[in-house]
Amino acid sequence: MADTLERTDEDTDLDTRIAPDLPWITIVWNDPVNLMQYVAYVFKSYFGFSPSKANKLMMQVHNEGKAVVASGPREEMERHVVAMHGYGLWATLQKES
Amino acid sequence: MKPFRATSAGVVAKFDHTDARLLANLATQVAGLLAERDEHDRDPALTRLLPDAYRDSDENAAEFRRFTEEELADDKIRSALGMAQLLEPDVGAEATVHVTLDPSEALDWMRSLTDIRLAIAARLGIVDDTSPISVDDESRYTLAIYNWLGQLQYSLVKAVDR
Repeated sequence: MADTLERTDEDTDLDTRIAPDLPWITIVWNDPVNLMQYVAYVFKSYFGFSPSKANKLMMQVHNEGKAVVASGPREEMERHVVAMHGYGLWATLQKES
Repeated sequence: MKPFRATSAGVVAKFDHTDARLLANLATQVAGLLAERDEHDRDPALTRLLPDAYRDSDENAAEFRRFTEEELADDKIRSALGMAQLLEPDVGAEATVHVTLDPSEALDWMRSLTDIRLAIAARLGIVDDTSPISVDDESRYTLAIYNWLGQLQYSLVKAVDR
């Protein structure tokens, strides 16, 4: 598991991370309420991301207004989105454009 | 209030009775807001607690809501009421409340503290990082509570995420 996460970590290019046959993505949007530490914690505990990957995505949400946190089949993205709403994060899913 | 800290028994915090009552009251209010929601009359707090899952399609968002909202709302209500219950003083009404949370309760508290802060932020009109905040007396009091909840949340995340 750790090894897989490490490899994902090195691959920072969104276009190559999202496989062409998996057209749906989960986006987390910036909001003025959620604490940065909490958002990073949610990314770690829910998605199982390494601390560095969770932190990087959290900073991307904070600085760029949003980050793609997952990609895959639509049903799976729907599960992620409702889970994020459970944590109070603002998440949506859409087809990868 | 003593912020949360990690111990061998779980994460612990101490609340004086006024803080405990305030927090329990806020949690109960959020649970009530969710329980009495009306799909045709959404206030901004509810919109933030139960946001649309699709930005690009109202139809998809409504469909998603139909299938997921009840369970999500029930989960938030259960979590908020659980928080209120743990804040009930077990000795006298004026007693300090000692809270000890196991990992699952700690997660519930993080989520409920977030929900309370989201609801208050919606009331205060905090919609983005640069929202101006009005400074009348009532808002100032609410803002102080909002910031206190943020500190509490921060200490809880730090205690859990070590």
